Amino acid sequence: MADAALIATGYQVFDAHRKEELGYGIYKGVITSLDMEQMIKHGKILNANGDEPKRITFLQCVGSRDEKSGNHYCSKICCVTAVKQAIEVRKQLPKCEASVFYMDLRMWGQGFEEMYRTAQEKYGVSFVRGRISEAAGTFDGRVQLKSEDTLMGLPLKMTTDLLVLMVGMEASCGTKVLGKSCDISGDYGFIRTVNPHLYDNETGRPGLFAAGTCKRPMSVSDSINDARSAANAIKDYLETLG
Amino acid sequence: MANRYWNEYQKNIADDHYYYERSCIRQTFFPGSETAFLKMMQDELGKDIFDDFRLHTCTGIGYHTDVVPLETTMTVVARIFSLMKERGYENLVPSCITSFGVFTEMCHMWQEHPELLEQTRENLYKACKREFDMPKNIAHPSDLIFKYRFELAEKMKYRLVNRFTGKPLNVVEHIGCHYAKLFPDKGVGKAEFPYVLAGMIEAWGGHVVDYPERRHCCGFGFRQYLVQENRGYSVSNTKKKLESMEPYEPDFIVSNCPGCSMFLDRWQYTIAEMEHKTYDREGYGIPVLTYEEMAGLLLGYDPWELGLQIHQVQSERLLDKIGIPYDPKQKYNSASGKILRAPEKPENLLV
Ligand code: SF4
Repeated sequence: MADAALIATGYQVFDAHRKEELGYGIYKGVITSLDMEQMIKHGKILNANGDEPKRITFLQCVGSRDEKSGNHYCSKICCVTAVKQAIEVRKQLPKCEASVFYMDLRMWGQGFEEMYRTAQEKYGVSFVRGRISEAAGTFDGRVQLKSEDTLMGLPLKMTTDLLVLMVGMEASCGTKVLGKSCDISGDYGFIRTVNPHLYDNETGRPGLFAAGTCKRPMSVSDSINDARSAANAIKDYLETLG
Repeated sequence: MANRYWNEYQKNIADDHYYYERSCIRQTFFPGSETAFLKMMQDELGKDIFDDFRLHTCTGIGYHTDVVPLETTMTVVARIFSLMKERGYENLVPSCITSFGVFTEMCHMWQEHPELLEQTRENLYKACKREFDMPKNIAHPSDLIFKYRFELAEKMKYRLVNRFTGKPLNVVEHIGCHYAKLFPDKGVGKAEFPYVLAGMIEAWGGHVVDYPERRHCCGFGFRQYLVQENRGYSVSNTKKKLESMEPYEPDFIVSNCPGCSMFLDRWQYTIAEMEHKTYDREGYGIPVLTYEEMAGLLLGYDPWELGLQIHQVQSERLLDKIGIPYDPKQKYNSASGKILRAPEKPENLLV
């Protein structure tokens, strides 16, 4: 039997089907940020008809900061990801318009605020403050969006080739099951630690530690740092056992 | 895949023993629909649906236009429930979608605020010495037809198929806002992709048109129509929907709301007069049916008894496509056989 165990069961992306008004799984032109990442990686960004898209729209906070899906927290990584993906779109398809619909942009981390500025100034990405209330398929396989530009105070309707849903992070099934069975389940099914500031790898159960996105949304660099911190905490604990 | 959401949400619809609440406006707009519903439920399916001649308004239109105060609406609704109790029924099936919304909303308020329930009990007792219980189940007639759509399909003589091409008819379904937008879990398929009419269309052989403005309001909006100066809002919303569905060439529209069926139909005349524009290729407009009319036609009920001649957009071309026989000479005869005068023909919309 081990003296210590580390829970690193991670997260799962929000299932965009749950935001049914956005039409994911119904309209081929509605995709997630994961789908877009794959397209960017393979250098093949195509619309639902297999053609080069003329306009791509990103929607932030899908399944995060959202009453309907029950996730009130911010997923922390999707704003940066959307800005990065919008820049990639403009790099790979200079003729394609890219716009991002946001509530507010949370560019956590060094260099990201600058990246947001670059996206606008160098790559011409447009940013619209507003949520998209409804997406619907059009006759020619595109996606019609309804929103409100909350800075202008005007309703807005537009058609796009691709709607990219920036899906948030949720506790993975494994995280939820372990959290429940060990009685360390916290908010939204993430693992609860003793103190998020000072003892953030300790679960309160002797020998049981947690690291990474099983605790809350984190970026890759946050997760790496947290893994290091967990290793140290476990080392300290083992030393106390003698 | 498109059915995924619709099928995920199913509401509880009691099997039988309903107290039927007729609608104030539906009996004028669609004079054959309520009779057709009763015939389907009672004669075709053998269900117990009680049609009470003593019933009265639910105040819905007055309530939604701020003419009738909330306390009055609650007391009037309570009186309807007391009549239901007196007849020994616990399940309510209101014909009008606004009544359905009003009943659901009042029950919700009473559940959330028991003091309002107590106040209403007191008001009702003071007003007419009556007592009431909340219904165990409130279903809209479209819920019941949806529930028994396969049983009805077995009795149907026709299907939603174009007999000339053999292809399913393209059907636009439009759900009244008060069906699921107020309380999404009270509608089959919830608010975004309600399945109540789509389920009927698919079960009866048709193809559901999914067009961009499918979820948009028909434009009736109570005040938008009732305040004359606001009617431009009403017609422009209907126009938005018609323009959006036009490329899909729908064979007809079906709705489960009196206001929607009325305005999607009548505004086609208005738009034709104002802009010389119709939304089918030949200039006849797109017929608009109630779900009872759609079901009734497929069951072989007489189109004129169903009241299709009362609509603005005429339905003969649709009847021809499905292969439903009709007697043109009987179109404007009364039930007793008296020849009534045919209405004047519009200038721009062909009939
Ligand atoms: S990181 Fe941005 S997109 Fe993601 S949940 Fe937070 S605010 Fe929304």
